Amino acid sequence: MAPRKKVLLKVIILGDSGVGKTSLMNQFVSKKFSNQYKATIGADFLTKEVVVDGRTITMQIWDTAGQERFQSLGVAFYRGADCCVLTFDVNNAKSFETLDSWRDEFLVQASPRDADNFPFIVLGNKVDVEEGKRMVSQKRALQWCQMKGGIPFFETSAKEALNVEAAFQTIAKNALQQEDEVEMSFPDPIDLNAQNQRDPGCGC
Amino acid sequence: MVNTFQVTAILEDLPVKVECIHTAKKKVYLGASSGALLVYGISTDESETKLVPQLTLTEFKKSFSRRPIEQLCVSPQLNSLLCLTDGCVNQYDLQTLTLRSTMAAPRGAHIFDVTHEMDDSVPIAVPTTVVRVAIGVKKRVWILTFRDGELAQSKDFPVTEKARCLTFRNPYTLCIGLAKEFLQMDIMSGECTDLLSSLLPPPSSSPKVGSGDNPGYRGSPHTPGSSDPQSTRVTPTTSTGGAIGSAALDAFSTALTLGGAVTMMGGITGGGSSRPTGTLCFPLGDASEGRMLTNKEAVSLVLGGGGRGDTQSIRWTGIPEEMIHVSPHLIATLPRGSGVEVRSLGTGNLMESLNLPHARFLSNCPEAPYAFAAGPENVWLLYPVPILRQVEDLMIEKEFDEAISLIHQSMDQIDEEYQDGPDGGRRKEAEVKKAFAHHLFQIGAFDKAISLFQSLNTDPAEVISLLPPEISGSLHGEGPGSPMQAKDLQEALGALIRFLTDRRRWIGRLLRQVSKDSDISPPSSIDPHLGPPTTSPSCGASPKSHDAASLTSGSYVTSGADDGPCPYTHAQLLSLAEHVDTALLRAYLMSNEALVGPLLRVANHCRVEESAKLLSDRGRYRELVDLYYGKGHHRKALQLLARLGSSQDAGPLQGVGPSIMYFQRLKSNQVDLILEFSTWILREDPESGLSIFLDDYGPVESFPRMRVVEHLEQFPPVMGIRYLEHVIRDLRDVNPECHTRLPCLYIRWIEQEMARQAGGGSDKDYNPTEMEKVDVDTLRKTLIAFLTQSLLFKPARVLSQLPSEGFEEERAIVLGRLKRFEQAVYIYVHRIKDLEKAESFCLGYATTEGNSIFLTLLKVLLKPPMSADKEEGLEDLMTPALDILNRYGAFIDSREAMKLLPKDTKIREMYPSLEKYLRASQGQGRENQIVLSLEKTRHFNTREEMAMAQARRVQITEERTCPQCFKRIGTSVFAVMPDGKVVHYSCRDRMLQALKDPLVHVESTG
Repeated sequence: MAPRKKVLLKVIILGDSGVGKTSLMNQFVSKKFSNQYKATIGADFLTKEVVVDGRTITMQIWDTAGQERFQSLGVAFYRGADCCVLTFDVNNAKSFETLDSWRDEFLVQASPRDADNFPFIVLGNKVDVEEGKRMVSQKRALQWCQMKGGIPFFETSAKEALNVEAAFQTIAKNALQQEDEVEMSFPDPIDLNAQNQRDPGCGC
Repeated sequence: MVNTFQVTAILEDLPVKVECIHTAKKKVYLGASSGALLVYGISTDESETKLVPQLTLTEFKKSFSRRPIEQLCVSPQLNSLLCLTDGCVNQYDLQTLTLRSTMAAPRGAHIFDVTHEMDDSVPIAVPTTVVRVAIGVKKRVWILTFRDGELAQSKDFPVTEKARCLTFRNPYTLCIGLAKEFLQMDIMSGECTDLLSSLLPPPSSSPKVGSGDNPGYRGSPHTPGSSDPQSTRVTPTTSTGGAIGSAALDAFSTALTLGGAVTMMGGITGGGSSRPTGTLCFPLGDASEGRMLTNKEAVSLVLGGGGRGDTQSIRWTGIPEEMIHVSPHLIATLPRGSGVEVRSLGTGNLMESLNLPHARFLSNCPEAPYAFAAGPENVWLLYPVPILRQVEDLMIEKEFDEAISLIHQSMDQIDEEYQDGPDGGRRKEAEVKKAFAHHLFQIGAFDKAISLFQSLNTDPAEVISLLPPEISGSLHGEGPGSPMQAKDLQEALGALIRFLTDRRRWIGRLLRQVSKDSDISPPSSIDPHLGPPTTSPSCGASPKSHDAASLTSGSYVTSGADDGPCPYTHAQLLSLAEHVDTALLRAYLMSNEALVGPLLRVANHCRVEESAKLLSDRGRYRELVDLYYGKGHHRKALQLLARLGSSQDAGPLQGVGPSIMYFQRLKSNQVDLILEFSTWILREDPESGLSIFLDDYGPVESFPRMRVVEHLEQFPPVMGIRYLEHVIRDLRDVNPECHTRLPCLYIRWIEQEMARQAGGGSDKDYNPTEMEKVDVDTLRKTLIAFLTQSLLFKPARVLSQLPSEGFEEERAIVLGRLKRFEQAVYIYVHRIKDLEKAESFCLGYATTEGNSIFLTLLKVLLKPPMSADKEEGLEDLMTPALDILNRYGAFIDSREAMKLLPKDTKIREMYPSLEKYLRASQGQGRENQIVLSLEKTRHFNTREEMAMAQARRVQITEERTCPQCFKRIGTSVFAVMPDGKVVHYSCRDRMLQALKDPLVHVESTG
C-alpha cells in the first residue's frame, strides 16, 4: 500500500474574548500557562503533531481574536477549516450564550458543504475556578450541545491542564474524519503515466 | 489571429537585391547585395489623419561598395554611417556618405554593434561623448572606443568561437551569442560571464530549484520562525514563478545543447548572407529595465527585469532570422523568407502571420511606433494597429488571456490612445477582465469566473444577475437564455456562495468605513454589521481593543482590503448588501439548507418580504421566525408562531413552546407584544402561559408589573393571583397596588367559586384546570393570612370589593386598617361572636393606637350601637366585659369605663380593674414629678452657663485683626466666637462655617 500522505488539519478556535482560547492552545502545544491576560491581535497559529489511530497528523491550531470577531480574517481562511472549537468560560454566562452566534457566524463564513455534520467541539474552560463562581452548569452546556446535533463537550482548565489533551485528541479525530470524507468525495485522479506503462514503446 | 500591424507595401520592384535595412534619423538605409546603398527620407503627411509615412529616395549610391553590404548602422554621435562590407566596418560621413575611414580591425569582420555614453567622470571638463564599436572578427572581439569622434582606444579579446551575435546591453557590457551559450563581457576587463545565470531570478539561480519542490507551509526561507500568515502565503507565488522559469529554461537549454548543427545548416542555406541565424540577443524596452531577449533555435527567452516570475519563453514556428521588438509584440522573419510572425511578448502566442513574401529583414524606428520589413526587392511598412482595436479583436475571438496580457504589456500606449485620464489602461483591463469573467461563467468555468469577479470587485448585483431567476430574483437580467443543467447549477451555486460570503465581509467593511467617514452616529439599520450584538466586552476587554482591531485588519491582509475612499454611498452599499444577502439566502436554500438558519441569525441584510416569501414557500418556518427576529419584525414572527402553534398538524413549531422561547429573546420594551401574544397561550395552556410571567428568565422580570396584572385580569382570577403571589412573595414587591389587587382577586375567585357551588356545583361547561382546583376555605384562609400580614394594601379599595354579605373576618381586618375599630370590633363581637379574636385584634392595635382600643371594645360589648343586633344572642356580655376590664384595667380610663357600665354593677366586680387603674395613674403621677424636677435642674444649669458666657470680655485694640479676613477690626461691628476669637460680623458666617460651632456673643463696640 502506498504510504498515506501527510495530513494537515486546520482547527479554528472561536469564542468571546477572555475565555482562554490562547491559553488552551498554548497549554496543548507547549504545556505552558500564564495568568497574564493579553488580548490576541488578529490571529495566530501553532502547529503540533499528534497521533490518531496510528497516523501522525499535523494540527494547525488557529487562535483568533475574540474581541473583534471575524474582522480580520478572510472568508477563504474559514473555508479551509477542518474543525471549529467553540470555547466559553464556565464562570461567565454571557460567553456561553454567545456560542450560538459564534457557531452561526462560522457557518456563514465557512459555508461548509455539509453544515449539519461539520465537526464542532465545545470547550467549557476555567473549571479550576471555585465552584461558587460557576455560572454555566455542565447540564446546561450538554443540553446545548445536544440541541446542536450532539457536539462533543469538554470541561477544561488550561491552567491546570485538565482535559486539554483529551479535548484536542477528539478534535483531531473528528477533524480527520471530516478531512477523509472530503478526500473521498474527489474523483480518482487521472494517472498521466498509465498510458506509458501499458504501452512500452513502439518496439522497433 | 488578430490584426496587429497594418502592412503597406511601400517600395516595390527595387532594382537591387536588398541585403540589409536600417532606420535612423527619419531615414531608411537599404544595403544591397550588389554593394549599392539606397537612402530614403521618411516624411509623414501632416494633413492626413492616418499619418502614414511616405518614403522618398534621397540617395542612390550604386557602387557604394564592391561587395554586398551586410550590416548598416547610423551613429549620430560619430555623425557617421557604419557599414559592414567585405569583412571591414567602414565609417562614412552621414551627410555626404563619403568614406571617412575603415575601422582599425583586421579584415574578416562579420558582425558589429555600436553604443555610446556621455562621460562626465571628469568633474570640470565638458562631458565627452564616448562611442564604442564592437566588431566580431573570427574568434575575437574588437572594441574600439571613440572620444568626441576620435579613436581613443582599441582592444581585442579572444572568444572561444565565432560570435553569432553581438549586442551591447549597456555601454559597458557586451552580450555575445555563441553556439551553445550566451556570454556577457565586461568591455573594460574582457571578463566573460554566463548571461543567462545573471539574468535568472536570484532565489532560483539554478534551474532545478523551485521546480515543483514546494517549500513547507512553515519555515520556508522567507519566513524563518515567523507565524505571520501573510508571508506564509507568499511562498507559493515564489515557487510558481520559479517553476515557470524552469520550464521555459529547460526548453531553452534543450535548444542550446542541440545548438550548433542545425544553426549551421541554417547559416549555410541562408543564401548570400554568411551571418548565422537563430542566435539572437537584444535588450527589450529601455536598457535600464534590464530585460533581455535571447533566442536560440526556435525558442526565445525573456529574462531579467528584476521581477520574479517574469521569465517567458516563446516558441517560434521556425528558427527566426531576424527579430525586432515593437511593443507589445515581437516580430520575426522565418528562414528563407518563409514567413513573418508576430507574437505577443506577454504570452508568446502567435498573434498574426504577416503575409510578406520573401521578407527577410526587419528594422524598427527608434523615434516612431512603426517598423519596416524588407525582402529582396520590396520594403513594407508595418504600422501598428491601435492596442484597443487589437484588444477588441481578441475579445471577439474570446482570447481573453491574450487581451489581458496585451493590456498589461502596453499600459502607457493605451493611456495615450484613450486620451482621457491617466488610468485608461487600467480601466480597459478591468473591462476586458470582466468580459472574460462573463465568458468563463458562460462556458461553465464558474470557479475561475467568480475568482476573477472577486478580484475585480465587480458589483455583486451584476454577478448575481448571471444566475437563473431562482437565485437572481429581481436582478435577473438577459442572462443565459437556457436554464442551467442541474450539475452546472450546483457548481455555479458553490462558486457564488463563496463569492457572496466574501462580498458580505467586503460590504460590511465598507459600511463601517462609510459610517466612520460621515461622522454621524451610525443609524440603527446598519448597526448589526458594526459589530456582533452579542459580543460582551465584560471579560477583560483591553483598553486598547480599538487599536488592536485596526492593527488586526492591517496585519492580516485579506482580499479587497484596500483602504481607499469608498466608491459607494451609504445607501448604495445597503442596497448592495441586500442583494448579496438575499441572493446568498436563495443560494443556500437551493444547495445547502443547513446554512439558512445561521445566515438569518447573524446580522444580515436579507430583504425581508422577499426572503419571507421564499422561506414560507418552502415551509421553512423556523428560519422565517429567525428572519423576523433578526429584522425586528416581532409581530409577524409572533403571528406566525401563533398560527403554527395552534394548528393541528404537528410541525416543529407546534404548541406554545416556540412562542414562549421567542418571548424570552425579546427586550422588556416589547411588553405590549408579549402581552398581546400571550393571550392565546394563556387560553390554550394556562400553566405554560403563566410561566411566561413567572420564569425569571428573559425580559420578564423587568416588565411593568401592573401591566401584566391588568392583562392577566382578563383571565380567571387564579392567573393574576399566581402572578401577584410570585411578585409579592418571591420578588418582594412593595407596590401597594399589587398588594391591593391580590386580595381583590382572591375575593373575586372566592365569590365565583361560591356562586358556582350555590348553583349546584354542576356547571357542565366548567372544567377547572389543575391550578383552579382549590376549595373555598383554603382560599379564605389564604386571603385572611394575606390581609393580616400585608401592611401595604389599600384598605378602602379592598373594603369596597368585599360583598355586603359574608367575608366578616376579612371585613373586620380591613376596617381595622381603616381605623374604624368600633365597626371592626363590633363584627368580631356581634357577627363572628368570637371574643378571643376581638381581644387579639385589640391587642394587635394596642401598641399603635393606644389604650382607647380597649375602651372601644368595652363600648361595643356594653353598648352595642345597633339595637337590632342586641336582641339576638346578647345573653351575657357583662361577664366578658368585666373580664376585659379587669385584665386590661391599667390601660382603660376608669372614668370612661364607669360611664359605660350599667349603674347596677357592683364595685367589687370592678375592683381589680379599679385597683389596676389607680395604681397605674398614681405611678404615672410620680413619674411626672421626677421628670419635672430633672427639667428644673437642667434649666438652672443652662442659665448658669449663659451667665458665664455673657461675663466674657474681649479687648479690641488698634492692632487686633480679624482672623478670617486679616483686616483690622477697628470700629466695625464684630462677633466673638466661643473660643474667644474676634471676627468681623460680616466674616462671622464664613468663620462659623469653618468651625461649625454656635455663636456665643455678639456685641458692638459702639
